[in-house]
Amino acid sequence: MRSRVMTVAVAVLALAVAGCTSDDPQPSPTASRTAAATPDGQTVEGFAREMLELATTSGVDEDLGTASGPVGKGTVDVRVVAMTADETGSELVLALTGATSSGDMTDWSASRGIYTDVRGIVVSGPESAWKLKAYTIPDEEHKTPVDCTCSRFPKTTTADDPFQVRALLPPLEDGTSSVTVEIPGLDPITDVPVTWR
Amino acid sequence: MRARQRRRAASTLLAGAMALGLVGASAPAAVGTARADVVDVAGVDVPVLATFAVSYGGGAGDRTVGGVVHGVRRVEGATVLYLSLGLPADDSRTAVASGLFDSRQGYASGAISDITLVDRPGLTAYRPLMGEEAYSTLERDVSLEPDELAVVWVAFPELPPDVEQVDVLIGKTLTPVPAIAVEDGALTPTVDDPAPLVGEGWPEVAQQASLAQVDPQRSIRPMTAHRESTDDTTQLAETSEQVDATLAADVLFDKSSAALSPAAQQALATLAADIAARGQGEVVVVGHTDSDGSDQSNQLLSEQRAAGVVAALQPLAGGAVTFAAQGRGESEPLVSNSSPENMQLNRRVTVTYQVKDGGR
Repeated sequence: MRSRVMTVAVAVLALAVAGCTSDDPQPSPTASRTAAATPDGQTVEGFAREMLELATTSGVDEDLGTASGPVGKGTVDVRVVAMTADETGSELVLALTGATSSGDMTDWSASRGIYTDVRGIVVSGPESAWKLKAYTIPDEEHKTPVDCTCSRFPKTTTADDPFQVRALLPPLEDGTSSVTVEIPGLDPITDVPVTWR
Repeated sequence: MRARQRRRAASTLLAGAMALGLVGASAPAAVGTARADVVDVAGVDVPVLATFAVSYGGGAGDRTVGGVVHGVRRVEGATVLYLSLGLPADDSRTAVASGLFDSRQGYASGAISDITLVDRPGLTAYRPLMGEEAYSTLERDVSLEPDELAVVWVAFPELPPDVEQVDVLIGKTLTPVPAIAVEDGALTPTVDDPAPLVGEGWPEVAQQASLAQVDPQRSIRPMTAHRESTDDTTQLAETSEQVDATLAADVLFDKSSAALSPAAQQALATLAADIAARGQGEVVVVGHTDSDGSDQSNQLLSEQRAAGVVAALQPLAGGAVTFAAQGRGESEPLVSNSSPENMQLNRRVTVTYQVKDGGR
């Protein structure tokens, strides 16, 4: 199982690996790309292998709340993987599975299909007067909001291979301990715990 | 003793992290790293700020490209993003970097143009520098191979001095990598290879003389923050300069009436408080209607509704701003008046005001 989108806290990673020993050199795919290992460092190949494994190996087992509903020609299951916040902003990570053949999630853009990202998702705290959405980024003429600080929705989803999408949002109110995540067309996901950095 | 921590035993790295519950099940909780760590790779100091994975084809089941963010660095005349890209071991085929990125207008052929730096507190996004020359690694110089990480760089406009971290949006999937620290100086040592493997050295980035040729303003985009009230009365779109509030007329007024409803009071009080706190200049209030009724009656209704909102806001908004009321009738619909739902969207009042010290 492989996550499609994952970032990993290097500070956390450093804590995990400090003091580890030895690596496991592999033959370089091309001679010109081979680099020797230093006595106390990693090889080019070993570093790449481990970073790529870390980047592309699943991290989507967390379950902070779920919702299911129709999308395109099938249904999608949404699981909240992470909801984090600090004073500068908040981040939502969702894992999507389901048997959608077309992956038509245009309703999620809340823009009648104009955009292909998940800007239609909103997050709100129980005491907040405001629901938060992803920021939008305009084109060069500063007129049309062509991009957002959020993932494009997947062209397809499958039943057994979670696809992660993210949204970078404005800050939550200080002390917000849980939020509700609303995805167009699905029931709200309530009581999603917030991790403060 | 060297200040940096050495990283060894890559083969135990993931297992160790998972054993501590830091990767795997709980890895996504680690979203938002800002601190760089440095790994000794074949004698080269390699900063590692975050790892990421993107879908090559944009769907579940497609190939995955993995990557590492190595730095967002201030250099003379620009900001340079360093990252590396590669394929996991179980992918046996080479891929081309161009498959990850859309081609954007205004960029030299083959330039990496589909990455964005985001300064959320400053409400500003930065696109790669654009011009006749490529201010990035050329896509054709990057071959994505299994178990290899090839370094690429992309130059952006200079960031304001007070920007300490940015988010990075990568590729056609807009994959967000949050909270990357901004640091000083290009990575060294440099090598002639335009896309070396991680540990072989760092690519040379564009020189200052070349960077002086570009207009960075073309790559700087004002972002908009979006909020909507939990009572569904108000939508806010905020840039670093102004706030556009859209109020649902069906909540503010009874049908075909310009008299404010009880439900309007709270929404307008909230808005007035924000205007009082940071508004400046002229607050422009504009009424809009749907297409039901005559043009004349809709124009009059929209003017009366705008005036009603001004009358409610003004006493609460302090003396630092002035107000102007306008009616547009049915002349500026948001959407076609083709359904009751669309007509409801078109019945609205907008309130626009400039803000002091917006954004950062």
